[in-house]
Amino acid sequence: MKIICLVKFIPDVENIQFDKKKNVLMRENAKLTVNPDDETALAAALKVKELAPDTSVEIVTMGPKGVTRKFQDLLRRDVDKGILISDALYVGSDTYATSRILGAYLKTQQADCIFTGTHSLDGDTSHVPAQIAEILGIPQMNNVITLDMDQLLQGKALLQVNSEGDTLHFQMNLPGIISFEKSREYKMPYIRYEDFQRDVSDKIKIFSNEDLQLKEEEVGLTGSLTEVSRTFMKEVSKKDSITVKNDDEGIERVYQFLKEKGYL
Amino acid sequence: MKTKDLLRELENMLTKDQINTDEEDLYDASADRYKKYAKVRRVLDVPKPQAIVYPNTAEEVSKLLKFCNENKINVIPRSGKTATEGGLENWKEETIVIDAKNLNKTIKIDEYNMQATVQAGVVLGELEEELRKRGYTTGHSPQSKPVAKMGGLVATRSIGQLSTLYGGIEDMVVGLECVFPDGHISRIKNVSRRAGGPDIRHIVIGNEGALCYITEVTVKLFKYFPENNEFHGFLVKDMDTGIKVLREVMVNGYRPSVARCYSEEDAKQHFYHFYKDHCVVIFMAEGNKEIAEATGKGIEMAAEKFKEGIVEKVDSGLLEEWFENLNWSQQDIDDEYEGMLENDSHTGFTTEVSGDWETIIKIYHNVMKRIKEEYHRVEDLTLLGGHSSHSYINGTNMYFVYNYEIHCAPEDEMRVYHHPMQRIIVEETLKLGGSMCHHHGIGKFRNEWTKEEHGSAYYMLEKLKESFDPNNIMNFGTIYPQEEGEKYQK
Ligand SMILES: Cc1cc2nc3c(=O)[nH]c(=O)nc-3n(C[C@H](O)[C@H](O)[C@H](O)COP(=O)(O)OP(=O)(O)OC[C@H]3O[C@@H](n4cnc5c(N)ncnc54)[C@H](O)[C@@H]3O)c2cc1C
Repeated sequence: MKIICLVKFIPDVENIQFDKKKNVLMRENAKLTVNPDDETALAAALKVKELAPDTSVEIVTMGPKGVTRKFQDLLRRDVDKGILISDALYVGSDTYATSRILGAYLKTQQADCIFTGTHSLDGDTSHVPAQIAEILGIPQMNNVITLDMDQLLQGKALLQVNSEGDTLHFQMNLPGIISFEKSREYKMPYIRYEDFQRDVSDKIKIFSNEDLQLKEEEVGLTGSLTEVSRTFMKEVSKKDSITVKNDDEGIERVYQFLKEKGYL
Repeated sequence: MKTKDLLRELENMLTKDQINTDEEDLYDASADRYKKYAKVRRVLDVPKPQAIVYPNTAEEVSKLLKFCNENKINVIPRSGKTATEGGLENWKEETIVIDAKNLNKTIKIDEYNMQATVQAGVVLGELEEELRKRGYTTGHSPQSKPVAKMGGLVATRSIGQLSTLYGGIEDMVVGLECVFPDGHISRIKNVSRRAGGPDIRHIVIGNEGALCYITEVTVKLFKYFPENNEFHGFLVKDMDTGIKVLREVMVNGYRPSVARCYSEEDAKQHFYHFYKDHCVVIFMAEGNKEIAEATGKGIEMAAEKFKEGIVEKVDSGLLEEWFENLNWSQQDIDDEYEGMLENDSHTGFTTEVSGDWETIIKIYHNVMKRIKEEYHRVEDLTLLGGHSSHSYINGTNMYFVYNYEIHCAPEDEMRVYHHPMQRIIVEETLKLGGSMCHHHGIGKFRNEWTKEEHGSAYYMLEKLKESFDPNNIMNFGTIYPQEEGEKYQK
């Protein structure tokens, strides 16, 4: 069985720094991290491989040429191959152009399943998996929480899907795109000690537009159907701060505050 | 000796309820907080001890040690279980843990002579509570005060957060009682000072259970004047300035109880609500009113001298509050364990070193540079910084702190994360003539450098082990390097 996982690297928003003087997020210092939903998808793929070791798991990501340490770390797990799709022409692609690029690559591959995340934390449109499915002419399902591994190995995808809190069961014909939601069900395996400093460059292949042969007007800003008309940084105004003591009164105050704001 | 036979022998010396063979307790006793993550994830690679015993008297300790010595059974002395450097980790199949739980009596609080005598198993926090009710303090305030016990505190040469005024435990211990492997019980008497040959207290203080078992300690008392406490704090532009301010206060003869300087990264985790991306210097002045006030003035004068590097003053109310919530209770320790079960992370690791004023800042910068340039998992670090927290007339300490996301299996954590950074810190410190262990002890994971730490004086350290513990039964692998234990260090 061949599984291709689409993985996106996003700025690690939890650890992003804030320049208090200029009142802006310091994006350039932000570390990259694997989009959590995608990590669950890859963890599920590696679980399949653990059960059926002849499974091949390939990860595909789109981004700038420099192969990040995070990408190498994924390949230090039991991943067979890493494809980095990178070309100056692709810069500025919206979700539609991105789907077209990824679709062009995937068309050349014969995967039994494509695993993706449902949302990405930074864009959060959920467009890409469905659009790729459209391009490839195969089924796709969002918000998958679990997958029956035994059935999958027999060529059938039985999916448990989160539908606004309810769990629904679906069966999908393969090949298809299974888009996971972040969950604890599938946990990324640890990197083995011996593999920590392993050179994984032989597992990486870089694809450019020379390989994918898309027309210039189909990709990048020109190929994008949507346009970002304006971006703005959320104003962060200085809030009044109240310091309470670590006593009953202080605890009560914090409790009431959280309750008032709907956190409790 | 087989466990069955050992237990029979132990039953001849102790009552049944003084012997614990509960599997879970033995698992817990096989390692300390050094391998906290592997321990919680149940992947420890070390053997479990065969039993934990709870002697009631020094005589029982004597009997136990004599028996273990004759039968070459490894002994791990234990008190509050807050050890951080592997001092409680077991590397031998044949081992018993001698726990001070039942040595829990406060023998005498002597207000006139300003000293208190307690057994090894008395929790410092409990002694301190009793003393404070009477208007006194030991002056000893390590963060582990609510849990650590007097035997362990003396055995590790511990130091408290108020050390810049009161000193480390070595400045507080007046006299003590301890038991050697051959069963000999020594009492070092309580006098104000003497010139009766070398100060033999120092053979016991800091022995980390590798020479003898401490059963009783007498410590000094000080008058407690919390109402006079003054808090002073400054945001400073860099560590160099911060260390200079600390030095200025010290060399002018002031003795604030707390004198600390935090790097920006470390300040962020403690003082996120006011650090404003700067290093933070904090002081507490205490003692009788006149002294506290004079110390406060000395601090302000030192800050004034380096005003070029001072960004702003910190509201003293914020500092007071921070100090109040600094100690770790057993609940905090338990909560951290719970967290480690759930997440691939923990509260981080530390390595504490010391050096003179000139050297410490070089060590700090060299370490930061090397870790950032050389360490192969530097991207996983979520915190890398340090603080100086104990100052002396001639220098200070540096407490390196580092936290990281864990991407390896729990059993590999040390060799992937802590060890490479600890190695850089120790190497840089020893290279410049500092000490690799300011207050946590050598334990079992810095013993690789014990010889280098002591240089030609290692001869003296070695002779102590040879004469007091010739069969090497005391806490195998602690302080003294042992080839047989290396497999557990990698
Ligand atoms: C949250 C936290 C904060 C800490 N803060 C500080 C701090 O501020 N300052 C500081 O110095 N340390 C600190 N430590 C480290 C630790 O608390 C100290 O080393 C303390 O002295 C250990 O005391 P204990 O009673 O817990 O000893 P244990 O952990 O039981 O033992 C420590 C070592 O002493 C030996 N030992 C124990 N009892 C005896 C005995 N009766 N006779 C002979 N040897 C014995 C053991 O074999 C072991 O090697 C901290 C630890 C934690 C977990």
